[in-house]
Amino acid sequence: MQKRVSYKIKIFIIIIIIIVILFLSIILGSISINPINIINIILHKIFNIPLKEDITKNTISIIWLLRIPRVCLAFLIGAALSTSGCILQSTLKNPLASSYTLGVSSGAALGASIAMIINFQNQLLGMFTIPIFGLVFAMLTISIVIIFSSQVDKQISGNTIILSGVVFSIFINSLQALLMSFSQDNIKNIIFWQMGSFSFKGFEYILILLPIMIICILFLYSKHMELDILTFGEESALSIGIDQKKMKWVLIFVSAVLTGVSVSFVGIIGFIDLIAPHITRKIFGSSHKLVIVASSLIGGIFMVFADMISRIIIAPEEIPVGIVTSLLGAPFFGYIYFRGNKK
Amino acid sequence: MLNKFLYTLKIIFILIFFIVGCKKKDNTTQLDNSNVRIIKDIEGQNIKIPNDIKKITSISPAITDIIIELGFYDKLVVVDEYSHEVDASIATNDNIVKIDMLNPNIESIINSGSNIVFISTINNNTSHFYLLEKSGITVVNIPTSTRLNEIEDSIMLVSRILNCEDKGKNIVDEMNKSLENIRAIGQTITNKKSLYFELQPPPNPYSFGNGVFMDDVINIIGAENIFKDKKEWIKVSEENIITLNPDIIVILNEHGTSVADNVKKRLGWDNISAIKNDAIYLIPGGWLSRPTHNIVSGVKILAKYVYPDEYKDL
Repeated sequence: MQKRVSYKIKIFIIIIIIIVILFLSIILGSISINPINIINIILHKIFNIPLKEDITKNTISIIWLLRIPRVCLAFLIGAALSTSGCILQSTLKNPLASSYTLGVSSGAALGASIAMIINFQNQLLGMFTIPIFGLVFAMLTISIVIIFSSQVDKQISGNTIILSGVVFSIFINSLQALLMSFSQDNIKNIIFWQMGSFSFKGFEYILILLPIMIICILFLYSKHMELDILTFGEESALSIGIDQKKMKWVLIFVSAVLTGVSVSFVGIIGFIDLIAPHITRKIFGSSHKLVIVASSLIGGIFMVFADMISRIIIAPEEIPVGIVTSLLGAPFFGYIYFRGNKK
Repeated sequence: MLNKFLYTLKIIFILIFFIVGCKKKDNTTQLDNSNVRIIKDIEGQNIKIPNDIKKITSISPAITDIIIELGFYDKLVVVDEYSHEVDASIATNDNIVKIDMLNPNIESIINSGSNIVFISTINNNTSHFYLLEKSGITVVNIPTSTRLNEIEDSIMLVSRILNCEDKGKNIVDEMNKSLENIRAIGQTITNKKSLYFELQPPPNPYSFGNGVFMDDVINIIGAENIFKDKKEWIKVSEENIITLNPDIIVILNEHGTSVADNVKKRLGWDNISAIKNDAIYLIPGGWLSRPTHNIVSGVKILAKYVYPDEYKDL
């Protein structure tokens, strides 16, 4: 009974934090806007409530076209990256596993770099040209890593997959560096893209990302029992009749889709997928039924917070959000992880 | 209990869907057709320009240069972080917001009240600016001029947009007249000195071949680019430079003042004619690297340096 009550409190606190951080993130920005006006604009847009006289068209644009989509996008990407990290750490039984170590981000970066260097213009893809290139290369990379791992290790141990991912990441990073050295005009753009940003992204991005993310997260959630069993060990999985090889590939691939879509659209943002699942496990234990959902929410909170910091710390300029997550994430992760080991 | 977690997740997704779904067509502010003019851009596409341009944003130093020359300094409210190199007073002018060129702060642009934003190919992925257009702000992309003769097109387009075509024509005529004078002298020069123009020092020296305005500048003054057989912006090797043995080395002076001394100390460079004859010239970046009317000053200075006798009357 005690346990149930404590879960209730935890859920309640997470919900409160989500509401506070989302609203705070909409309020804070390079331009200061009265919070009451912000609420008025949101209510006007959703329920057609009349606008106050002192609200200008520019203010509406800033809130409705820039900040709200940005905050929603940050939450979604944080949730996706965190869920992906959570699944991979469990599947590969390695606390440092993430889609980044499996080459997904390197592949996405190579694809995005190619799109920028050849200046590929396509009427149909439009502003999504770079993300689509990134996604295609990210998925190609993870597919190659999976095929390679299964060829070299029939048991497909977690370490083989991670090592293959690291090897391919280094190779692809070198290819990207080679491309960049031949196209110095694009270096700044590529580096900027790699550091991650939620700028310039409206509701259109959310409309594309949301269905993919819902499908992937719900699919992964539906496999929470299998994940629990995989965590206990391969023998347990076999005794229950789970084809653990197939299950591993499916889980890795769907997690890679989540990360691939995320990094392709907003650039490489590290550490969220390591921190959020670890914190979630510390709060909620190890049952995946709980951890998957909670880590997606906590990942969303972290990302919105990091994006908020990136926007306000040297306003009107922005720090790329990937730098903020790494700067805050590395020491924080070290603290959480090593403090746990000490005990 | 767990269902509550799922429920929370669903609620968040539904809320996002709801907000997205509530997005009404009317939140995209369209320009009122009665207050706009239609102008063709450099690529021949029609663009709608507001008749009453109240405030201007420029996210390219070259365009800022042209806008100021056309007399619209007072209408500038947002510029990129490098535009102060065009006019030093921009740096201290509190009425002009300075923003990052690769990652421009869209909020600052909208908040400034600009109704026209000039961007160029130098900006990071120009398709990003669609959010400004959705806010009812006209976004004009003036591609960075790659050839000398394209500078004229940029000036004329900006002047048409700002409704001061005559002024633009005067600037262009004056620029062309000065360039023609230089070209006329350049064509008489038979002793073509070979020139290496260094945009970036070793270990990754960067220069250019034909097809860029800086190569046009070298040709106009009667000299010869050592990489004239290559195309556009190129990465070169020190071995290449030593083999091609330039008579003159020109360096964009953006890498510090001790550059010339460092060039002389480079291993294997001591036999290059330019080093032997102490013909290393540092030229301020903005004079030749910014494709605007002001390039004339840079061309004159370079011409006088390479051929002091021929251009002594300039």
